[in-house]
Amino acid sequence: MKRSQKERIGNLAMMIPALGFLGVFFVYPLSFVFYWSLRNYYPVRHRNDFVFLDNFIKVFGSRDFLHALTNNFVFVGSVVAVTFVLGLGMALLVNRRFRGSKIFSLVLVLPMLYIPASSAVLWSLVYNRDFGVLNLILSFLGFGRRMWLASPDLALWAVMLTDIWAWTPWTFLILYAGLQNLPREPVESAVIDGASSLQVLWYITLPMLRPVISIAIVLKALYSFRIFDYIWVMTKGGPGGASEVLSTYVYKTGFRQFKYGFASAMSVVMILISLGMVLVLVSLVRRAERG
Amino acid sequence: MRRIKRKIIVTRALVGVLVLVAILWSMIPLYNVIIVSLSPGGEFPTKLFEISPRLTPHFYYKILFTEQWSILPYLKNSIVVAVMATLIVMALGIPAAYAFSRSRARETRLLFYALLVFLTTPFIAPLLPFFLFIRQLHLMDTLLGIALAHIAWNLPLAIWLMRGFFDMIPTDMEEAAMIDGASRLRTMVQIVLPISAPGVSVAAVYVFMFSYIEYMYAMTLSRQQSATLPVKIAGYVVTHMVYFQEVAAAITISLIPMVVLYALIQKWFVKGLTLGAVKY
Repeated sequence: MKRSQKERIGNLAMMIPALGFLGVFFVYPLSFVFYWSLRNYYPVRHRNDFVFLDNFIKVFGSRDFLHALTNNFVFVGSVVAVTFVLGLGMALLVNRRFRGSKIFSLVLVLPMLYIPASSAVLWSLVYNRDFGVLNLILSFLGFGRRMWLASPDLALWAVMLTDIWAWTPWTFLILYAGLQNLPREPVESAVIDGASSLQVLWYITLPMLRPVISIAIVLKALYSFRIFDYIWVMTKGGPGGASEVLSTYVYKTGFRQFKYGFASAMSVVMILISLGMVLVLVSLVRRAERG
Repeated sequence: MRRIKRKIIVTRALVGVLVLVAILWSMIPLYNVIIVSLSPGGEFPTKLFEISPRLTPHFYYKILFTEQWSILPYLKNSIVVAVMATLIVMALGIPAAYAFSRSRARETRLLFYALLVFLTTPFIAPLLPFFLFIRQLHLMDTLLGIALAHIAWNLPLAIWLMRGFFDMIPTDMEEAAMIDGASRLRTMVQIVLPISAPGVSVAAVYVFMFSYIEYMYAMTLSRQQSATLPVKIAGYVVTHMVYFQEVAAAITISLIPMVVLYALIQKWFVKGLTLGAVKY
């Protein structure tokens, strides 16, 4: 046997266990999602007729779905923007390397170290009307207390705040590492030339940081799109669907209403949106790097 | 000269304020929880700076050592699942990542980008069929069932990350070993693995952390027996929201393992993330 053939077989043999596992435990279940999305599958009523794209038409006509979709995008957009700005601020702050900045960055990272489900319960306490810190501060300052998670207007934003609080450290770490790896000369020569720190930031530091910024934004957007933990634990999509997002809505449709076909169609839509997001964001990144 | 000095003072003051705000932002929720967890009986602070003089660690004892309330079994579950998932992901993923890295065939490159599909699939999508599949295998409410889900979700990411690490290692020594007749597998284990240990460890830590904090699949696939820590704590919101102090104590305790883990892997954390991800 030639050496290259031996190599090829060796390579293949090493990939097969992993691919086999993924085939059984990932591809196989996922294929059912596509299969059911084309059928009118109500396991409870023993119906399983082929309805082709009917489910998808129903999905886009469903007001609840569109509401969840809007909430989802509002969530992603706001959370990504705020965590980016705050994370950048923190990274620039720590970059100044003052006394105690190491302990400071440890304190900053603390919110990220909670298990997400645990953060959710933590903030449920913080939002508590009677002893939650938020209401305590508000009443201290003279404003009224609110029931954050129980009001339809505030629920989604309250959950968003939790996500921002918990994930800003992540953006901070990535941006900080990026800042650390930047070359010093451009900044130093600009300062010598008389540029203000704001000018240095905008015209030199940020453009150099672009690849790192893109990674942080793409990954955070992708992850926030699938948001489930915080919403499910804090409001379960309530009150009355005010804070419903795609993941929670699909979960309820599948596990509580047993509308497998409809839920699967929504899952397929989610997958397509996810893929679309990645392609769009990555192409934006590539174009920014070239420009 | 005086103008520059004043500018420095103003900047320093501004930085100081921002640092203070950032610290408050991070710590206030923790402060809230700790105060509640230490408050006795039915007394909770209802005003901002009001702290009961009769603070008690009673609820921490309750949460750890009483049979009815102890979260330790669930902590054990979480760790067992995470360890299982990490070991199996590494066992399957290291050879695969290595093969992807060293292979020159065009098909493997396509296959590798196919992994991207796995990485962008929303978690909720295969949940329903996966749940039914696990039930069919009689693995409902078992730690193994949950671990299988975690392995399926972590394997693509681990392979992606580790291939990036393997790519950075020059192939000369492997070539030499192969000419001497060693098989691919042997070369990998004896030559490449020792060198790439840091990179592989980063991937392992990621897998462990993801499994430890994972909620959706752990919740769906467990009932009473195999509930992991996130599931148990989240469950408090529904069942035990009357017992605020116990819940608060549980949250504080569950923070400790993650803090320890982070302290250990601090250096590698971001390095691993950006390294693997830049390989677009």
